[in-house]
Amino acid sequence: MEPLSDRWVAALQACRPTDCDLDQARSVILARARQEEPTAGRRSRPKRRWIVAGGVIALGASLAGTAQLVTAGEDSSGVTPDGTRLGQIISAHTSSAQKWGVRVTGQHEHCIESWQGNGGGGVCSADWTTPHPHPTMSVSAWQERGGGPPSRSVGLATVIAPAGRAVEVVSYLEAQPTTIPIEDLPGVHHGAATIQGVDFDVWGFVAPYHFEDEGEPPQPPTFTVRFAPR
Amino acid sequence: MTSTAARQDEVVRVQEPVAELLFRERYAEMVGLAVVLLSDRTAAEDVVQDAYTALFRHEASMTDQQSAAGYLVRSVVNGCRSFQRRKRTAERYAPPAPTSEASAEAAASARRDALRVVEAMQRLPDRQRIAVACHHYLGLDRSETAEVMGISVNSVKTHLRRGIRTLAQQLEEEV
Repeated sequence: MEPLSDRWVAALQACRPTDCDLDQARSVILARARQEEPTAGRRSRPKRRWIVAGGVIALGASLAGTAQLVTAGEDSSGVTPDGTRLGQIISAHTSSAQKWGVRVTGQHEHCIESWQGNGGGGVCSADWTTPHPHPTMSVSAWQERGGGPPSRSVGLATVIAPAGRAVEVVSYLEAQPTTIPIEDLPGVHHGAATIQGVDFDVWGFVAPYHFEDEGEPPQPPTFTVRFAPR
Repeated sequence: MTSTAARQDEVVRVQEPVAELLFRERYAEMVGLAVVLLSDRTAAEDVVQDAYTALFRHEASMTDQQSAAGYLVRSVVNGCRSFQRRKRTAERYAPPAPTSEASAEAAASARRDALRVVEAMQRLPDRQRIAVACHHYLGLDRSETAEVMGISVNSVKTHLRRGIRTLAQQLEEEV
């Protein structure tokens, strides 16, 4: 058998990535494992109990930082015969005049652009071109140190999805340290909006985020969300 | 390492859940395997995460690390094959995504050889590609490759011989 030359064997070996985000991967894997557990008996779905109607628009206005998941549209992006979707777009922006950070990472996009806001707003986006029935993404928004006086803040993620397409939290990485009991926060909100004539469902996820002005701020709360199964 | 320290290390390793150990030590390697088979980093991570999801779910039935590792590799390989089938179906209904090519080109500037060999791998038939990836990327011997693929050792030899010959021809032509 002709051997494969050392050059190409080395090239194959070089395919092992060195930039895997193990924390992110672990969170997705564990979330999927939980989602796929047999449903015999009572299934614990703590995030769902927070879902209440309305309120997200006012909430968004008062907290100013948002991260959005916008789809390119069911029609334009195409739906494959097995029901998976192609061509979704993640978009995140901030509109606050203060310093806000937004980070969006996705598991199914080809292109990830991280962006951190510094007033005035901005956008990061990525195309989702891999068919997947339940794409997940992680979103977080937080007020950066130096962007305002409060040492007590919240993390907020707003997800905009096509009307009728529910979004659910599959994992939540809590910021440390936190001083606001999660029970005291609104948690998950659900509302609706019409943007440029298109109906969307709007989902807001809120979590405590506390840090002092001294020292490095902790990692902000991060929600991993996905479209709920149809 | 002293023998006492070695034993302590061994104790720690034995106590660590096998799925967690395999995740920490082999996640990146499995992503690389899926990249070789799919030429798509995002899809590779998706497939590998699904494989680990199954591993975590079935961890209780895993008797040892070796069998769990074998299960993991088979899950990744089978996941890649399933993904390829779905992708071929999807491609019949939708044009290729332009961003895929763009991101591939970006990767090429950093690791041109790796990209070329992965691209050449994509032109191999499924079984040849898997055999070459298991043997030359994972470093499995022929019998281990046969176990992963669920075929005989002689079949593995045949797929390897044909795959490497085709691969070498393609790559040499491009040089």
